[in-house]
Amino acid sequence: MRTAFELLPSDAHGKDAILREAEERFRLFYGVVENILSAKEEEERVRQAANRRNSPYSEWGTGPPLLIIVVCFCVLTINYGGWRRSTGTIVPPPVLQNKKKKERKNGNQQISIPDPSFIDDEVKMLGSWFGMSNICVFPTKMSALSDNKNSSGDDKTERNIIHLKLKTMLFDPKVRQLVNESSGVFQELQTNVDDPTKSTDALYYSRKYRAILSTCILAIDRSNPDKTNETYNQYKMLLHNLQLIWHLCEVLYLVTVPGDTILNNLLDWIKIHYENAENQASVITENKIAYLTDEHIEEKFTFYWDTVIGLVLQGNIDTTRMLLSNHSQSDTEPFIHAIKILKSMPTYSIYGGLPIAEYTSRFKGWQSSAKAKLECGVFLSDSNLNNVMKIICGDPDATNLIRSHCSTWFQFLVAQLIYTDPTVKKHSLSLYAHRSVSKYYEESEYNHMDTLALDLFDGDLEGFVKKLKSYPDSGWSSTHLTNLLHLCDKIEPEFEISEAVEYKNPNEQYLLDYGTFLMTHHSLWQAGVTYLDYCSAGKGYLSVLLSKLEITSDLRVSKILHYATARRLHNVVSSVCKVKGMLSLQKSRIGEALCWAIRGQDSAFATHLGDLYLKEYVKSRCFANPDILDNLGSIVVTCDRFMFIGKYIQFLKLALDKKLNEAALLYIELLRSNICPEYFRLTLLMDVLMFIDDSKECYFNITDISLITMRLDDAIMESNEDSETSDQFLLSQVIITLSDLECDYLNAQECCNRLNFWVRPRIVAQTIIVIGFLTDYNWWMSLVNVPAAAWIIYEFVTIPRGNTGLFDPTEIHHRGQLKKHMRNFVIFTGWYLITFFFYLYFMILAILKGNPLETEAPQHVNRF
Amino acid sequence: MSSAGIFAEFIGRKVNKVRWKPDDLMASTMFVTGSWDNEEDNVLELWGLTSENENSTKDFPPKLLDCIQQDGNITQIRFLDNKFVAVSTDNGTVKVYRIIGENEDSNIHFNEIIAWENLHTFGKGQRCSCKDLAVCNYSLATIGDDYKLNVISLNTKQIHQVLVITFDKYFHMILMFDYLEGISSSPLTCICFLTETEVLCCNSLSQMKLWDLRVAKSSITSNINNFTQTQVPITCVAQHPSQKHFIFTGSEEGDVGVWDMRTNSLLTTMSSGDASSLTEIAFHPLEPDHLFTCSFGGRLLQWSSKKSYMCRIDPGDMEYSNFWVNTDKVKTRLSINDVIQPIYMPINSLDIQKQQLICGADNEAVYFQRNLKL
Repeated sequence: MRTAFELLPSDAHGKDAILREAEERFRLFYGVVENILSAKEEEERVRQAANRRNSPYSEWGTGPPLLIIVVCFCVLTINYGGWRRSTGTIVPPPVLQNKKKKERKNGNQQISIPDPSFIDDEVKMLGSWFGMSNICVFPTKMSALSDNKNSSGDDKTERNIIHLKLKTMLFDPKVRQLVNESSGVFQELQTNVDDPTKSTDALYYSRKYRAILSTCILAIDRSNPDKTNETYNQYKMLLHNLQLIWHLCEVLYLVTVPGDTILNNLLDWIKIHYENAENQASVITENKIAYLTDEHIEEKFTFYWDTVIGLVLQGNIDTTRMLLSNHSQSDTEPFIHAIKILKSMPTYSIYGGLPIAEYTSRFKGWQSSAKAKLECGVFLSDSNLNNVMKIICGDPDATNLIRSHCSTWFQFLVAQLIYTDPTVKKHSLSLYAHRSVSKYYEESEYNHMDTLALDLFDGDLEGFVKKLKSYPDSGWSSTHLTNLLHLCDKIEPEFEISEAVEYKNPNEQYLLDYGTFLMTHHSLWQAGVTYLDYCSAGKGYLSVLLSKLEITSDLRVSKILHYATARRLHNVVSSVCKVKGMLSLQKSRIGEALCWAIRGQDSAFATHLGDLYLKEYVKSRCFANPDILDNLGSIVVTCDRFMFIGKYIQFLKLALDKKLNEAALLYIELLRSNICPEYFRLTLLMDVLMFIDDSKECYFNITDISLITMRLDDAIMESNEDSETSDQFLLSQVIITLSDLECDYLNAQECCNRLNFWVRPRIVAQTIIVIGFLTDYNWWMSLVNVPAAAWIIYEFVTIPRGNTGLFDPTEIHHRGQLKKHMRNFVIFTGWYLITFFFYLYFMILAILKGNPLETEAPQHVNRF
Repeated sequence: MSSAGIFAEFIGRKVNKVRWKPDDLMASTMFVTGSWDNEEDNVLELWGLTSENENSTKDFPPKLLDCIQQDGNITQIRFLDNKFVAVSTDNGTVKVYRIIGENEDSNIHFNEIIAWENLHTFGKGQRCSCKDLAVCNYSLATIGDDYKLNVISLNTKQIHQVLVITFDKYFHMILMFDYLEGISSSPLTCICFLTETEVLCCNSLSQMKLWDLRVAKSSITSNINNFTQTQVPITCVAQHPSQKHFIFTGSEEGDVGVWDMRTNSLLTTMSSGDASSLTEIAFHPLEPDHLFTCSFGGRLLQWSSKKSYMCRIDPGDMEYSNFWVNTDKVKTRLSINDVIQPIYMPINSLDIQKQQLICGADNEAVYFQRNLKL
């Protein structure tokens, strides 16, 4: 992790610019605006305060109102896949500002951390990632080096490490349902898109998403029945608005209306989301007592006229008529007229058969007749009724009245459209929308919802989606809606070319953001996997994020492994298995560690474990964990060490069952393949004694024996190099016993041929030694060697005629010849050993004494 | 199977185990869920089905009746009878709760009867998971990460009498407490009682070990290895409800293995085509022709050996009773159906009671099917 610091420019203007940019970046960084960051002070004291009472807490309040104490740019390289779109490059830094309570503009929240350690001008704030989603902030005194040296000893201030944690609506237990259920729908949608046999009706899925939203709202309602929990009220409102916007988007873009007469759909939309008037109407009409007792219904219900107007504004003519006929004055002239007019209002339905032009003329005719009646003053007797009729006639005077009855400008827009342009086309909606917004608001102060809706009316889907991204639902809506629109080709993939090249379309980008965001949650990470699956760069992200997940329980491990194997992320599997394996190894549970090694197909780790087993065997002559080692599975194929262990155990078993013939075969195989690790070679070679104890049978043929002797020789050579003389003696003894075995039980012919082959070279070598010493005038040495040479020459000369050589297969078992040979060999071996030490001694003597410049050549060394 | 009649309830925590509260005569109206992977906030919850009015049948959405915080992920829930429930967590704790209150009572709640903290332990405060818990006639058998097998027999008389627990009564409730240590060297995965005295343990190297509790300790009665040498961990095990010698195991690769405990041999393996790890395997308690499995792949499958009601079974057909022995028949006659639509998230647990099935999944939901088609 790299950290860089940058000091602020001195002038206020530059400061401001940098701050704004930094703030913007921070916002981007988390992908949400208006996120509620809760500053949680951990009780991690960096230093113990000596004088706590004098700690700067008390000074805090009186200190000078520092606007911005410190801004530190901590530049974090991404240590995993990348939070953002720039893998490997520097990520926009989170900027943390320490401020006194200051302005809050445009919904961007600034966090102020009231920590005493930041009051000093020299104390800078540093931050770094902590875990996947937390930021760890700590104060650092940025002073010159010389100061540092002076003050290092006597700095007694308490220092806190502060964890900043992102708190979002989506992680609330009640709202988590939204995440989970929508991930299911999302997955279903993706699989059905790939499957040509299934229809992917965007409208169907859009409604599904909306249904999820409304169930979530219901669940929140249920858990918060008395509406006292402020956060839940807020969540509910957010979800409500989201549903409204989503529905509007659906109405405008996903529902196909023949002839583009969109008004009916808009009316449905308004009716669903603003059901207040209808509810009140049903309260009024269901009240039978008022009807029976001849009470004045409009007096009993004070909201009577509000309801009527509300209904009229929603185009709900039938209910309006019903309400009007319930009025106590309903049999008077104006009411009868009004009801008649309402009854005769032409309604447009797509499938009603009326062409648009025909309908428009009818509507105009109806409205003009109504207007005529209005102008005649028919309704003047009741001012409220007069207002209603004014609305119906599309009278411009009624605009203010309509406005006062609409809680939002959407309602205002639709209400106006009903009586002014009922056959409005989609493309002209934009104009009306802008007009009604400007009429509705005195000053142009739009909130987020307004701009979202305006974008939709304008047909600016791209802009809409971008803005939706900053809706405080952590990207839930933008991700799903973009994905849905993307799948029905509403958003062109070319858009946002200015962004980094690798993310061509917003769909991918949002999926990535949302997926990574979910992955940070301790429980919802599984849902995050779903989203990352469906973006092209997701696999890389997954592989990093999955291995970053905390391994808290075995269940979690099995799930992580499941996801990783299903996605062929072998690096994740092996890293998780390695971690688990090491954990078990720490508890010195080799068996468990081996299971993880097998699971991760980790042959290096398995080799290490195999070594542990074998070393244990060398020590104690028995294998630990027989239940695993007896049933090694695929690991023997991937790991040589276990192939050896498996075979060796098999060999031991055969030997134990006295099936020595088979055991011998296996033994030779083991030796031949040379997979035996070095430290175990001796143990393996010593096992040959198992076959020697039995005196009746022979188990090896000549090539096997040569192999064994070869291996033994290798071992002796090696042990010579290591100068482990005790081993050498042991092995020499094995050689002797072996040759005993060889001559005793093996094919005598073959054995003797082999031995005879070596007789002549031996004579030659021995005489060369003697001559060699003579040439160097080493009289004593050559004299010592003469008897040996003489003896072997004598042996060779005195071979009886007709014998194949010194060792004759026909005679070797007779007259104790074998014993004699053996005795000779023992003597020779001992003699060579002794002379070897002599030579060594003389050589060292020569080296110590002799001046190489005076003598012609190092004499004694030559022989070796 | 159609997905009609499926209800889902999102409970805000990932469900690791779900169990019906047994009811002798009627279809049960209560169930217990255990959550996992929710940081420190894992709970055991008791839910009751609700009804709109008095007459209609009880149905989803369920109502939360009681909720008890647990100290770790819940690894297993088993009912001892229709009042007592044993719960194990991955902190090595096993607890027995009693559900107090009858069906219509408004104040139904859990009451902790006995708790064994650190029944499984590594010592020195290291987490040691209790992997599985099996129950047979008021005997509990638990296995854990410390390779220990605990067998606890409860005193049925005492446990039913006691309402308020005092220290001396606590000990009276336990009839026998046995344990075997170092029973395996690879992680244990699941346990099941074959008979009251025989316990079967499975481990993650596809091995099964059978312990007879009557004979001397630490001697394995039989050690069964999967001869295919695949070493796929066995994740769950179930016993055939009527033919007790058949054991069904679910593997991490989605196969169901059928074992005959008389010969200790693997009869056959069945695969559904879903290669993800099976999480639970269960027979319909009354209709042993139907086997249910759920998997990480989000599928809840019904394996029916009986084709349908329409398919008449010849009463003289003795082979029918030995259906599982006849591998050819298993291959040809077995039909596999999805009970609910695949949900793309691991289903962790299922339970069947009478005609109703319930399952819990990682999307924090509990699914409920009222009328199983058998």
